[in-house]
Amino acid sequence: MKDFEFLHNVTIGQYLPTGSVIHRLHPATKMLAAGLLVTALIISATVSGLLLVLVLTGVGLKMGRIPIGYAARGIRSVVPIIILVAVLQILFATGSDSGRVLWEGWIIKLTPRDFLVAGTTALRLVVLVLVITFFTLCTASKELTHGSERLLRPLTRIGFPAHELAMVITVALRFLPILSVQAEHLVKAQASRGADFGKGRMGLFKRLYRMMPLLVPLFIASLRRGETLVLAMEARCYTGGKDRTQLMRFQAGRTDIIAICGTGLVVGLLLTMHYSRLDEIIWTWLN
Amino acid sequence: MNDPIVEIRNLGHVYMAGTPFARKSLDAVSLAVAEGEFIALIGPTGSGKSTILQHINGIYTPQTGSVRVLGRDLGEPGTDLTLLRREVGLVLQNPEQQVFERYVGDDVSFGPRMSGMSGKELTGRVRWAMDQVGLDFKTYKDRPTFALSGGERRKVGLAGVVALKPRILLLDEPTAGLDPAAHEELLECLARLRLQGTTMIMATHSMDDVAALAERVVVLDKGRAMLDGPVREIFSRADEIRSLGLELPVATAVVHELFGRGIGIRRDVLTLTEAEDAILVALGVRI
Amino acid sequence: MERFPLRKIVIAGIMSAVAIFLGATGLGFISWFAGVSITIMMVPVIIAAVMEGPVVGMTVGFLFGLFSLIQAAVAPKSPLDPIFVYPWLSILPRLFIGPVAWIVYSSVKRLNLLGRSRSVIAMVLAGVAGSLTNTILVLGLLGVFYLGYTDWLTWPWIGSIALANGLPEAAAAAILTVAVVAPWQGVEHGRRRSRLVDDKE
Ligand SMILES: Nc1ncnc2c1ncn2[C@@H]1O[C@H](COP(=O)(O)OP(=O)(O)OP(=O)(O)O)[C@@H](O)[C@H]1O
Ligand SMILES: [Mg+2]
Repeated sequence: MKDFEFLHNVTIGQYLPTGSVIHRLHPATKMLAAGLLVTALIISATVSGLLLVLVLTGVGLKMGRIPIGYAARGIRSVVPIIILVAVLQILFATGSDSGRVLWEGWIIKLTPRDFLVAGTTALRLVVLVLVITFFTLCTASKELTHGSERLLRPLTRIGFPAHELAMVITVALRFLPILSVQAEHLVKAQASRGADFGKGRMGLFKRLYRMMPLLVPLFIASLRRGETLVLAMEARCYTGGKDRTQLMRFQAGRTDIIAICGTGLVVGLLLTMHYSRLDEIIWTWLN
Repeated sequence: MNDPIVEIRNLGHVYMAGTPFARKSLDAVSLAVAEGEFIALIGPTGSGKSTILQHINGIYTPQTGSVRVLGRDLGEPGTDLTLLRREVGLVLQNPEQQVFERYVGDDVSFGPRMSGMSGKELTGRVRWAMDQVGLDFKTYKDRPTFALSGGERRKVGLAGVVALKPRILLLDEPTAGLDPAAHEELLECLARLRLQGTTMIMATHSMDDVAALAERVVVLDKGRAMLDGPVREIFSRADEIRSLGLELPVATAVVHELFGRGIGIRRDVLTLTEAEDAILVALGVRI
Repeated sequence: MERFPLRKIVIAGIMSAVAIFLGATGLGFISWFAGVSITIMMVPVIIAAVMEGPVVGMTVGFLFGLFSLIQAAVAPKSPLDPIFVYPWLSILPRLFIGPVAWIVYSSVKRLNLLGRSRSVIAMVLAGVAGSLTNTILVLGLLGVFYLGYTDWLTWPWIGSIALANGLPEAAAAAILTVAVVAPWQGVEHGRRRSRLVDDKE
């Protein structure tokens, strides 16, 4: 029965260790680069820029020795929503009304522009998903601790508890798989004594009460485990902070500098394309 | 022998089939259980004990092979598994975790309540179930569940399944992690349930529990049923058991050790009293 | 490590994991009718705040927000999700859930006139306040900055969502907060006995 196994598939992205140059980058580099790119993509959505990032991601995947088909698989699950968003845009977007009208009726008015906007939205989602997938494919979740700690380090000067935040992230990431095993166990246990978690039609609160046999022990068991974890860490004299020796040491090297500069360049290009309205120019030229 | 109450034929199961994490856990297992039997499932860790139990109450439905329980074919899509689970109770490992209601009485009554029982009948059922597991109804019914000890909470979890009055009771390592006194009490409780005529199948690592309770043993290894027979017969095959990395019950191990040192002694011994007798006979003190 | 004892760090991590888990599995959404569902993903934030204070609550809120940002980008479910990739919509409002819940909880708990049940009342109000903070801030920001992003994104629509989703969410948050925190802290409340009827006359 699939009902009881779905919980196991909770992973935020899959790590695919190939040991490539990209994989060996300092975690902070990968996080910074991904973060910058995603931010740039959120701010600017020019077709030309998106195509540029698409091509560069392809190059990155090659360098990371990740099969492009494998990375593209992540997009498949997103396709329906991308289509939905695009269709809504085409049908209802009330963009500038200049230009030809292809079809008009009811509240719907189709212009070539609508298709451009919808296409851009869809392309942007595809590229965003691809970039984030790429990041998760080449970054193990345990690297995130070191990465976030390093990235936040400048903030410690103004008293920001960077190390603590990194620890919180580690605990959370380590705890996720445990949580899914725990939830699976609880779903099975409660089903074994007649619980059904509210299939079919029923009121909202009835449904909530049907979920209580799962939700309440899930929280309580998590808190209990937390308690145990605190004891275990204290028993091993965990103190944290600057003097802690780390099991994994990451050295930022020349490749990291190149990677950051490269990303900076791309982000700069994207923003230039956005503010110089390159798309508009190409668009009017094409018309 | 009547028709078997549980009939498993060539059951195979792969966890997370179709993913890179696929893992074969059962490989053509066959097993028939008659009404009223007490069967122990033993085998090294990961041998598939829990997986089999979860097939008998319909948590998993057969991927290959077939499972018939109480005359119902669990592979049949139309089989009502929720109804089945009221007659086939499964107590998962650490049943204390499934306790979610605020008061003991309410948690024990959850299963029967979900099947529509209420009023005095429900109270009577809860009283009965709590008696079975050795929790005094008056003392415990209004106790807050969070204020129980670990052993008490496990009994509440067990009572929550027993309250369904299942015809078949499946137990997954019911005594794991209990202190000796609680362990002893739990064995008594299982013996009591067995006297009621409940068919029981218990997965366990404790060979002494097997010796104390079971009539028949099924030995699993790497998802295959290796040995199946009466307890005495199975444990007399000490070498085969040991070669699978399993222990013998303490008493059996002692007489085998004596036999190995050249003392002529009966070896079909399970309990300490029997071992004592056998030793006395071997020493010529008793005939 | 004076400022942040280990237990605060661990509870923050664990409650963040629970929030993320609820979101990633869909368990955090309770569907109602015709595709409308309410969320209980803010409950771990509220619980963390009630148990360990405003900073822990804010941390969990931050990670919850960060996750919903990523999810909006990677696995969008509603037509509005594409604008939730903006941190000021997905993260900023969530930072306030914890602190608000904590302020309400700790001040109500101090009200002696409420008598024995004041900690439970405090938990209920913390749940309601935390959840409403989320609703009001998110919808408010949507209304102020993104009116007309789609045709139906208008103030009346926002108002109706605030009522139809916000209120049940607040109630659900209150129920869950009490159901988890009261037993955890050993606070008894309500009937103080099981619901079983007496069967001996
Ligand atoms: N939910 C699951 N998802 C994926 N694999 C699983 C799952 N449960 C068990 N397995 C795998 O299936 C195999 C059989 O597991 P099972 O739990 O049935 O063994 P077991 O005999 O009960 O072991 P134990 O004595 O440790 O409880 C093991 O290899 C295990 O790793
Ligand atoms: Mg097992």
